Amino acid sequence: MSPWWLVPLGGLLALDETSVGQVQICRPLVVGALVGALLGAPGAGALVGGLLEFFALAVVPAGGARFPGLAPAAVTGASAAALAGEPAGGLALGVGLALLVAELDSHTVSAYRTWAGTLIPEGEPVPARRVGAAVARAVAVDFARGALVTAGGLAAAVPLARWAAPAWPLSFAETVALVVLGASVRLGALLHSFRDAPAWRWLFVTGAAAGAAVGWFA
Amino acid sequence: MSIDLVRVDERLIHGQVVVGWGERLRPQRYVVADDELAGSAWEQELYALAAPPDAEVAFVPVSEARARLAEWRADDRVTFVLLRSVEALCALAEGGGLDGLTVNLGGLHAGEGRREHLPYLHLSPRDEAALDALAAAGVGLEARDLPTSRGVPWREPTPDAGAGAPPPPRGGDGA
Amino acid sequence: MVRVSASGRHPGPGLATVFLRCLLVQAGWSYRRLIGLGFGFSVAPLLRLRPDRDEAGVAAALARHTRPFNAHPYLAGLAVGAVGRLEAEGTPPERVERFKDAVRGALGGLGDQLVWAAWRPLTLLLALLATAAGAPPWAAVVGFLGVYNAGHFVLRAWALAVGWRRGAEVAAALRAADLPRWSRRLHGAGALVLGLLLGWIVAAALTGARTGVAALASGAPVPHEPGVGSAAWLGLFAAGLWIGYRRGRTILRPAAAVLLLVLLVLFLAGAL
Repeated sequence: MSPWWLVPLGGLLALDETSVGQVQICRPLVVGALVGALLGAPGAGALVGGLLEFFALAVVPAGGARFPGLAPAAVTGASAAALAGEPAGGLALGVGLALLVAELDSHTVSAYRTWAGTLIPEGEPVPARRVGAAVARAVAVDFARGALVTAGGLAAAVPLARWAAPAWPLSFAETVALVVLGASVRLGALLHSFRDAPAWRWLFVTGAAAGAAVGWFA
Repeated sequence: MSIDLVRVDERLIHGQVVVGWGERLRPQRYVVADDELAGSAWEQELYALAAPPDAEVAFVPVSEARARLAEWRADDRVTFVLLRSVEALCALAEGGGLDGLTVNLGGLHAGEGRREHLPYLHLSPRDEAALDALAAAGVGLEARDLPTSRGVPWREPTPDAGAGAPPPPRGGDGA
Repeated sequence: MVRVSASGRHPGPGLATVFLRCLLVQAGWSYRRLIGLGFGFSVAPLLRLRPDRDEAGVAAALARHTRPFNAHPYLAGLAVGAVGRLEAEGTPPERVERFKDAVRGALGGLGDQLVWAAWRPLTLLLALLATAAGAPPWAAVVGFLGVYNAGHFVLRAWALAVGWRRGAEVAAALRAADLPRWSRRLHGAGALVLGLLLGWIVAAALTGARTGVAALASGAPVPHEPGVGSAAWLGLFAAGLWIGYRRGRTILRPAAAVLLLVLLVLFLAGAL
């Protein structure tokens, strides 16, 4: 399948982040697995998606502040990894591009949110059908925004997967270890957000010990 | 000392305050200084639901808040003081009770006659003049919706401060 | 289409329409109105139950209900239902506005804590753990979407039903539901599962095991090379966790920026 078919998919998945439903099909874990499967590399897509999830887990979109976007970034990252045909370079490229696109995406969201304030007039009666039309327009523009960001990401990912990925100097295991290291700070921030639970320290330590033991002997 | 946040935000107790600032500063007391709410039990009940269950929430008239500022500042417990408007901030600041603190301008949304300074900060000419006067009197003022956002200091007072003064620089809503 | 029951107090099948509209409550999210546009869109069918029942009255009410408002999207239905009920009862607009002002903080804060900071990370961590343990990616994704959305839609339906049933008296229902307690419980579960996942990751790094999705991605189904998890890696990983724990969410952007810089330098080093 041509990766360019992913442009409208990126627009659709981006709608889930804010405008429509929020059923979380925009999460990197979901998008990574889906895009990987569509491009014939389910493992590569799912791994990038899973690792990007480490970066996204602690984010709470409180009150409309600017936060990194998810879906177009994950489409870009998973595509880069799937198209690279080289696990380590594809993974590094996918994660790097996704983090960049996530930041770019957040700026387009800010611009969209400024524009969306002008959809209906202020302080005068608004017929119901006009509200409905404004909602439809808002959804259409947000879809286009997500699709455009995805297209921009893919425009970088497609050539770089071919030309840059082979230049990556680390092994696959080293690359995973590096990305996990990069995500460690954000996983620590996630733990920070759990600390109002009773006995959270014990729960965390018990989990870590059990996870290490199972992982060691598995 | 412990008034760790004095915030002007018409939403009063809400996600940005409780999750954004609250997780960082861990307040044990939220004081809502508002004359109308101080006398309305049904509204207090709804507002209080937004605060963490283990925190004390007090609704007091602005005059009472002003009288108790020194007490809260001397208290060990971390306290957030929340105000709905610039007008209430001016009333609270009378007498110098906020000296040495930086007031957080966290959320005043669009309305008739209000000009956009930041996506989350819309002010009337009267608000602007009042903030200029407060700044000239030595009260620190910073626009910042969340701890993760870049703080934007209120403009330096100018000789013609007021309705005709230039707006402060626009900033992003995130860092 | 909304129908009024004989008692005049039930919108009949219209509540289903309102429920579906609430899925669009964040459409047109703007700095000017926050979710105001989507709120107006969602509550519009209930405004036809107003005592005046004319288009002009609905349009005037919509001018009020598209003003700035905010709430967590899953709990916004509580305000939609309650405002619909208040409007249907002919409550004065000033009181309806004061209700909206008072309830939005709770609906935002409680929802952010319960859903974005607890239910979502917990269900995602479970899916990530399943993937690390060898579950096929599609199974982890389907499991995540199924479990997460079961909670999601129950919460949305509960919120709309409570709002419509209780009107301005929603505070008692919200207090009885004790959402903060649910948040804390889910945070505890989150801490446990995060521990499991991190323990697993450290063990895999030390042993060099490629399990689950990593094996699938690398094409190497069995451990075949020495672990990359040196003492230095472990130390840096622990330091990263500690910094993140100490700084909380304020550290999110700098952490990503540092990794980006390292990736770029390594790509350049490899290319030259």
